[in-house]
Amino acid sequence: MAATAAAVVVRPVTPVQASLWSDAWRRLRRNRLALAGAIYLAFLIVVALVALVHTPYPMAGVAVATPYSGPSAAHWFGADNLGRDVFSRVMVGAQISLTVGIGTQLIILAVGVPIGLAAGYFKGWFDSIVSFFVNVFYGVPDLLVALLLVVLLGHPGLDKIIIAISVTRWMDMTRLVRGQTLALREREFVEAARASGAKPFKILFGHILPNALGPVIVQATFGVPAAILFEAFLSFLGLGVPAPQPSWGSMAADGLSAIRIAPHMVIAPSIALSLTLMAFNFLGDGLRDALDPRSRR
Amino acid sequence: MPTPILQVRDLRTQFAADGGVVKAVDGVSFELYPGESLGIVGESGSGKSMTALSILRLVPDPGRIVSGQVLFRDQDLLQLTGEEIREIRGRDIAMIFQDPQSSLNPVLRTGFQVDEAMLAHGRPKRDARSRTLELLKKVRIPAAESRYKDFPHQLSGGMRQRAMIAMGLANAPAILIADEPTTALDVTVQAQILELLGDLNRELGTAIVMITHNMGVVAGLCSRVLVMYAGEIVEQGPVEQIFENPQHPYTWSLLRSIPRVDALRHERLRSIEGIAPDLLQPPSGCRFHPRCPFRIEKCFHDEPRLQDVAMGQQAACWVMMKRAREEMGADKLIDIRPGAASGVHPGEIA
Amino acid sequence: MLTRGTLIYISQRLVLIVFTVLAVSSAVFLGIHRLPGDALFNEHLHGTEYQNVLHHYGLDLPLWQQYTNYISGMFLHGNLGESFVNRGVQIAPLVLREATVSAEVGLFALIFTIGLGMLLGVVAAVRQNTWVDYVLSTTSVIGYSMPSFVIATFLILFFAVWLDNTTQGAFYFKIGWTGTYGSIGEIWLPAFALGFPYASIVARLTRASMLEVIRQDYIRTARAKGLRETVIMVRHALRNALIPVVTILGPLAIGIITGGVIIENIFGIPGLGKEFATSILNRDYNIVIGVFTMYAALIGIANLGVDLLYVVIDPRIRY
Repeated sequence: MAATAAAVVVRPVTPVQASLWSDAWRRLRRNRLALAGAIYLAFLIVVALVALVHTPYPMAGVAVATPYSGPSAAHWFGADNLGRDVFSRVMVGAQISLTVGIGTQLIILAVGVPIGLAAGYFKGWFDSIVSFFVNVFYGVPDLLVALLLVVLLGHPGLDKIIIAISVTRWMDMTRLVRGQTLALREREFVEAARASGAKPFKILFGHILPNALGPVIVQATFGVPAAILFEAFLSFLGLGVPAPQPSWGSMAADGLSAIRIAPHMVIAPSIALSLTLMAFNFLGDGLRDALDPRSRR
Repeated sequence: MPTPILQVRDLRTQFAADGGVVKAVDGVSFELYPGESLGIVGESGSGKSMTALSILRLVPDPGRIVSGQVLFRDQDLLQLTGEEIREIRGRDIAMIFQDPQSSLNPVLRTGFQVDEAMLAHGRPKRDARSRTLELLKKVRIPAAESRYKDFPHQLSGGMRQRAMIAMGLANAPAILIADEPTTALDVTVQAQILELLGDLNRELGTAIVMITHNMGVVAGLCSRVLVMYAGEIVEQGPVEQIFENPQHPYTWSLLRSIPRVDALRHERLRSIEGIAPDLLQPPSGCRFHPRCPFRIEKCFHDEPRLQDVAMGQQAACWVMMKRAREEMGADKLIDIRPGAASGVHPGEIA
Repeated sequence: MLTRGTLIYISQRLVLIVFTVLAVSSAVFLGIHRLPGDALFNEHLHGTEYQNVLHHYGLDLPLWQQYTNYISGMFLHGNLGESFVNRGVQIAPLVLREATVSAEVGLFALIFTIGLGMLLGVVAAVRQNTWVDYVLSTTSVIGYSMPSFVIATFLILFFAVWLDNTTQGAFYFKIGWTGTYGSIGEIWLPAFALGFPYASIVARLTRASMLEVIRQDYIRTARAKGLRETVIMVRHALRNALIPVVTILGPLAIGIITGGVIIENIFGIPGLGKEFATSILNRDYNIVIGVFTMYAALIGIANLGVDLLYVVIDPRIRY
């Protein structure tokens, strides 16, 4: 008898259910602002992809139009101080913004999630060290540190910017995952998995992470606009992507000096940037409400 | 009898809620005489606090006083302008509240909060301050000068309630309404505060309206008592008379539920059967019938009115305790479930 | 208010600020001295001339020696070295002056943030679910979604460009700064641009906390005393509603200080932020170190100020 009882393997059931995600999707579809944000972002991604293979004019093509000339049928957003087509440059700018936004979040996910999982699961000295660094980074002004990092990393470039932003913004994700793990590790299905002899790696990525995925997705969605904003700041100050690469931030800076004669130069990238940030924030709000209806503000 | 200083007539206060109107106070009438000490008792939700708040028009949103009169020195407080009622508040009628912890502003000095009661009614600043010190001494706060400068969190619970009482007495009001002033305090402190209120009532001649759920408090302080149930007055009269000879079954069960020191150790603390009624849909007939052991058929559909049962005592009941004692053996009753004594639908809670 | 405990607390915090400043300047010093190239390269100097310049800046010494010289200079003489680009210009008085300019802009922005934010928050709470309330919730979305340079841009477009054109130059905002410190006329627009995003946050917080506070028992007590409604709102409700607002002042101060980097560059304000961007672009690394040192001190002092403000606002807090 005893042998049979022992042979019954308790299969840990992880309470992630398909219905949870379909429920969330149903709630998200009802949120008009979030939906509008998602549609805008889908459009922006298409624009960025098209810009990879084709722009109406070369983005660095000087004097394709009269310098400072306003919007026209040939040049929808007008031309800049060097006679470059602003529309083409805004298209490429979308590429840069999305690369920075998504790139930093990928790095933060790749680094912040495992660290947070390990800190929350194993606790002890590792957790103390992680928590210490999280607190230190919360105390420092992120923009200034990012600026310093860009300087210290040497010549500016997209990769340096992504690294600088990741270094200053990783702790939100780590803190979130750590907190989720601390709560989830005490739950029955994790206990059951542990009792059935699952290895920590399997427990963390097979049982805990899938259940923390909702908040992680929400955090990443809010992280993207924060990173885009950072890149725009850096580029605005002339410390972002090197010319002639057109970042929305550097385009706005160029436009600001010609604001009296060619306001379209500053307006076009500013609006593109604001819409993008707003779209991500609305989508993030919508996702948060959809994935965790209890946390409504 | 002297003329009453406060007359409440057919007061109705209601709250808009999801799915209807909550009649928190439903046709309450009573008088208060100068210098007297009146108790209003009832369970939470009986409308006793709302009655008190309605007198000063302090009913919180979304509550509304829908009808009635509150006559103070022959003027109807419910008809006054905002500025006129503001002048009455704290000057002629003062009110103190249940929890002195949350009723004092945490960021203002205690003494200043007493001063304010006088400043609001035109007393000059220096005058107010010396009067505050005098009041703090009168309510027996030791080291009044240094307590004046303390913030509320630096005082004990009893001390805070004393400061609240000082605030209430600041303008020597004709009436002091005390809404459960001892509930949040330790038992020993409760006794001290009641003693203080009693002394002040006698010395200053301030009429006191004491809102409480505790019959013991009424016994210790009041000369007359109103018993409220589900927004209505079910019995009223002089305290000794009511304690000796309650006529409404609700009053009777309230008095039974007072824990007695001489009670047998193993005797279960008697409580009132059933739960307080839902005021969104109050019971038909007598509102107490779903919980009443002495109910008769009539109680289910006809609403009783207050009628004289003895000198100065009135009750609203179709049976009355006199009959319940004589015919239903109320004095020896152990099973107090609804209808148990009368045998009308026993045990059923409508 | 200034008890002995508070004084001890302040001195402890000041010591902590000194250590933070030391740590920050050391990190920046060592980090930057690893970098190849500096402003001197632009001068194309050779031979003894180059050696002389190196010697002038102490760059011929070993790094460790340079570092100890720098730190002791900073703490013993308040000396932050000399600019690489403008030889002979001492950095300490330069950044000190610029820090006060930045502080001026920051303080004005803070006044806008708190004044406007609280005013809107109180009005929205008192007039809950009216148009004021809706306008507020809309502007707060704009506030947290629009970068400050975009807000500044649109303000400039309106106040400097559009007003200039429509009034034929009779009435408009002149961008730029004539003296070291700005006049009210010069400072209000940059201060507003800097403070606006945070004002919407403060407004939302004030609204929520006012709505919470006006339900409290002590407000009922105040009414029962016969106080006037304005006295109740200002003295009793707002004082308490401020407590949660003060808790975000720390992050808010940091946000305003860092946000100033952008705003100073846009409006041509000769503050720390403008110097910061310029010195990085010029690779005037001595100034970069000085600017960072000043920022560390400024942020430390701002945080201390916020913590002391708690004591003033909430008597339950004592250090």
